[in-house]
Amino acid sequence: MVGLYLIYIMCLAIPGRVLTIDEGDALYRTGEVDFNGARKRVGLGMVPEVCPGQYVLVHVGVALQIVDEAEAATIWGYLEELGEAAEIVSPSPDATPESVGEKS
Amino acid sequence: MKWVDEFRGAAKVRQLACLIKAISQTPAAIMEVCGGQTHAILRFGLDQLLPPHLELLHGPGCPVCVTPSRVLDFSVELCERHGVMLCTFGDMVRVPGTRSDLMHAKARGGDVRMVYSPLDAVQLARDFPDREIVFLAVGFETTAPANAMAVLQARAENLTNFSMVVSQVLVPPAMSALLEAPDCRIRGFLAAGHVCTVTGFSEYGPLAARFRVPMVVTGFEPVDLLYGVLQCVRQIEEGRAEVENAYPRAVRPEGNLPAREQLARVFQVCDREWRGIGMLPRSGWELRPEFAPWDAEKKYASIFSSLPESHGEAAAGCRSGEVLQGRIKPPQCPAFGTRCTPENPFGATMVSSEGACAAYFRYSRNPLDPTLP
Repeated sequence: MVGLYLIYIMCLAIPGRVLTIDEGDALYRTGEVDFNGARKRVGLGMVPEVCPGQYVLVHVGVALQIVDEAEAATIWGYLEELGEAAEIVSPSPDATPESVGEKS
Repeated sequence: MKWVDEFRGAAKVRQLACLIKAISQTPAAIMEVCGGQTHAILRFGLDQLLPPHLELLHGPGCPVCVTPSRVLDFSVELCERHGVMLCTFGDMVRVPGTRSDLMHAKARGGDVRMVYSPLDAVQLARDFPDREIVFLAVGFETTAPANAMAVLQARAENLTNFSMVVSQVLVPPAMSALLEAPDCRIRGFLAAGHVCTVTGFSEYGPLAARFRVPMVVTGFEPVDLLYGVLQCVRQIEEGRAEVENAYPRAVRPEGNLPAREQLARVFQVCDREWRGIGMLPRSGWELRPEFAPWDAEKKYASIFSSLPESHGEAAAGCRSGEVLQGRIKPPQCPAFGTRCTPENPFGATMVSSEGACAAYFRYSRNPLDPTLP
């Protein structure tokens, strides 16, 4: 199932809801983003105007754009249909994105 | 059809398919650019819902597939012989180089790490200040913001043990190259939604006008994809060739301006070799000279220049170049599904989950086999 997870990596962006935004330089700041239950630290430098509660499209750990909730819901519907949305939580055996992400 | 029936938007999908059938008169081939779209089309059997005179061609939008072998050779060399911790996305580790892929380099003792994000590689550089960390940064415009962010962070923190092998490619020059081919059959494009989320679609207008081909910015859900096809067919039937946004939920005409600003700070346009297609002028991004300390090609210049130029396909009998250009469908390659499988791939289009060959194999789709639906 590793294969399917990888389509997220290379071209699909995943919507998530911004929970908190860290203090700091707008370009380097990160925030905690909820992906349908899975939480991850995400780079918010490309969406400087984002506020907590808004949805962002996230691709390989960086938010690309602010989207509305309806968009988030429809994309999640599609991913759930593929049946493997849960895999973004633990993508690979080598990396520990959660722990790495927490520190960044 | 079963994937479509199971999908909760099935009613809408059927409606759209009926509309397309009702409107479409002209035989035409429409190309979806992005590998994620190819995957969804095959997964949900969307191509089978179209009238027989409408064909979907699968485009070159798989960054893993088009990464030239020299980039792989360079990465293998760095981790195997020079003690570098080589980080990259999971799909890259099985792409064959001239001599080896990264997975085999890892098996021989090379330090290869699969990461989710380029920012994770930067974190490894912080965590291991005594190691040299190199991130293999492949991708289209969608991935560029994250790669740019990694370099900006490394520079801001003066992480001198971090660098990137940049193999960024751009969609519009590839579309242009395909359209310029004298035997080009493409009559419409579904432009890749998330690429346009970043860059917008101002570059596509001149292409649509020059080649008289409609270009519809399209999303990734079944309904989105069929809606993109419908808008494309409408234009074809009405004799229009315009850029249209069928994915406004995620794409603004100008894209993401703050992201574009950062990309312009970090990258500059360069010529880039595409595996299976060849050298395309001004078709990629490289780091600007001021980021040279984080550019692995410059940092390890003597190693890079000692490697042979990329040329052609890795394996004899592999037709992945033609697959990437939409000239043939995967089952038309004699190696497909017999000698070449995801377990034993000849070409990158079978390695990458986004590759058309892997998608055809995964969904057991062989149009030449009459026993299959």
